[in-house]
Amino acid sequence: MRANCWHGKKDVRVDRVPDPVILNSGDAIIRVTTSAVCGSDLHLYNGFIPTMEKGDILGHEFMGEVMEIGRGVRNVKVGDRVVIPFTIACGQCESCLMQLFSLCENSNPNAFIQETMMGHAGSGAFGYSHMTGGFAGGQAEFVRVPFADVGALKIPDHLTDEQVLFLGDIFSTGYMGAELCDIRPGQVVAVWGAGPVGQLAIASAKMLGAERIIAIDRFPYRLRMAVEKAGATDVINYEEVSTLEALKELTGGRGPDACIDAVGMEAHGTGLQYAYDRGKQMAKIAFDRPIAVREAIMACRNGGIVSVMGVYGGFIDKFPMGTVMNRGLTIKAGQCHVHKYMRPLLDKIEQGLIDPSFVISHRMTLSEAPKAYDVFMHKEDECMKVVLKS
Amino acid sequence: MDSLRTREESDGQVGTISKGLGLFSLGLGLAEMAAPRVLAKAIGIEPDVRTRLTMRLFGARGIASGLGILAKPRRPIPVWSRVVGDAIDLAFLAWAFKSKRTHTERLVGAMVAVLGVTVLDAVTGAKLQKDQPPKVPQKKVLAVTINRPLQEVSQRWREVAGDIAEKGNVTFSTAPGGRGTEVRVEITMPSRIKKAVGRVLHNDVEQLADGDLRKVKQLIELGEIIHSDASIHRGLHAAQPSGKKGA
Repeated sequence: MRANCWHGKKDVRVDRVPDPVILNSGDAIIRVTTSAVCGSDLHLYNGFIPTMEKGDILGHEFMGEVMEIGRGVRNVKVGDRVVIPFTIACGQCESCLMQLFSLCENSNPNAFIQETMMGHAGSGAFGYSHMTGGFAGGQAEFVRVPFADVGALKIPDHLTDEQVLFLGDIFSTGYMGAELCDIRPGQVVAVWGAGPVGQLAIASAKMLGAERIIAIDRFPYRLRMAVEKAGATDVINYEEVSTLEALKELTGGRGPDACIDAVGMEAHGTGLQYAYDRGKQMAKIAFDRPIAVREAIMACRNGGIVSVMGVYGGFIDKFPMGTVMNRGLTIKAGQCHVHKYMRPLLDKIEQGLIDPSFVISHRMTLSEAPKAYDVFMHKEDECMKVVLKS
Repeated sequence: MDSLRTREESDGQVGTISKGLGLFSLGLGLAEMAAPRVLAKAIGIEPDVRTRLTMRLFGARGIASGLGILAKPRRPIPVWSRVVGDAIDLAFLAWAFKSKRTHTERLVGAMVAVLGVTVLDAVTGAKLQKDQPPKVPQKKVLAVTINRPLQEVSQRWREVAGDIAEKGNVTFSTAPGGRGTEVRVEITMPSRIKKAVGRVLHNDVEQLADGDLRKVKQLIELGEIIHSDASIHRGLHAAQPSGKKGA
């Protein structure tokens, strides 16, 4: 089969590789019909995530048709059209039973790597380095899906791939980011990053009842989409004004009730602080440029919530812990527990409350995956989200 | 009591000598770094560019040894590092005799002084070596919580534990709140060198035992061991299918 493989920093290629086979009784083999390039794939592309190997198949946002199932699979059958969550969960460990699916205790065969780096291990994930298990990703013609009974969500025929594809990651992630904010009517939510996750976090905050939603980015086309499609009420272009000052002005000096970081480790910024973070990252003495999360903490109102959905890889410095403690902030974070959100969010799509496909800006074929990464990376042609058709 | 007091006094003496050697090493090293020309003249060697560079390198070595000794004055290895350094110094001084611009009397004096310090270093190193407690193999407890009742876990342990059952003592206890069973396995740790080699060769005892324990958890909770496209291979492998069937 053909698959988009990582070969090094800024080097991905569509290679011929062997077809997947059933390895465990709960596996299903999926023929991928649509996949996507995620913002977090760019962290791999840019070489910021450790434990990658040449030849790793990328892609953790994908859907398709079930072609083969293991002997233990009961809930899906050959021919079903399914969306797959990007994390892999067994459904039987304590974490899964608590619906903390991205912290599954059984799905990561390389748990020891994360234990060494992070204290404890998270779940396995598709196409996202060997510290999440070394699972082949879905930017391919076929993919093996472990625990198909737990993860694969059957999709009704009347919904298109593009309407439901993002249930497997960015829609669920954006929704969880908003849900962690405990939004109540009349509240103000600020969202750092108006990329795909940010757009869907804004749309989710709106669905959850936020009165005022402020989008923060540096690209006018993204800020425009945040207002026109996602439901933001205000925007801040941080290259034109000071984010903290603008937020104080917009919120009457109080600060947003909740702040969502939908940026993560490759944040951009201005001034000396940004140069310092960028220099450390380039010198390989830091994984992350934590500009967005620092700003979110500083901006949040007293006693508010900071929800971190952007991906971080390691240790960060200049972290305003004094602000967190003295102003009684709550920080909530996590890789999305996608399995928990897919079904209720599918219902919202079916009810016509949201169509997450509004974020798609580019459609390409699997063969064009290297170009897709390049276009997305450089934000060419106002690129927001690329989907790949197999 | 007398013999105990004598042993403590002896320990105290050798510790004091060791600290003294550490301070001496640090002081001499700093002097060599700061004033190589003056020191070279003092020991009768022409202070040309090469000599000054050599003196500075020796100074850096002396500072490292000194700090090592002062950090752990009862450990013999930092003191032995001084003995090695003394041997290098002596070789350097012997080589300096070849030069016609050497002040022979001062050089002989320097060699005698270094020889004296070498004897003191070696005696102190030997004494510290002798006083080291016998090496006891390090033990480590690895633990995992299996989301099944204690009775089920203990009954199935022999059947599913495989290698780890042979690697160490195992104990079972019910987790707080009855949330599964805590399994603890005590393993004997290899030396640091063996562990480092094991990591490179992918056969580190701790890592293998930890992996085995996770597999036991998977076997009891799920009925099988979970594979990824890479994990079915020994060592590093790309995360892509290989056409190889799983277990």
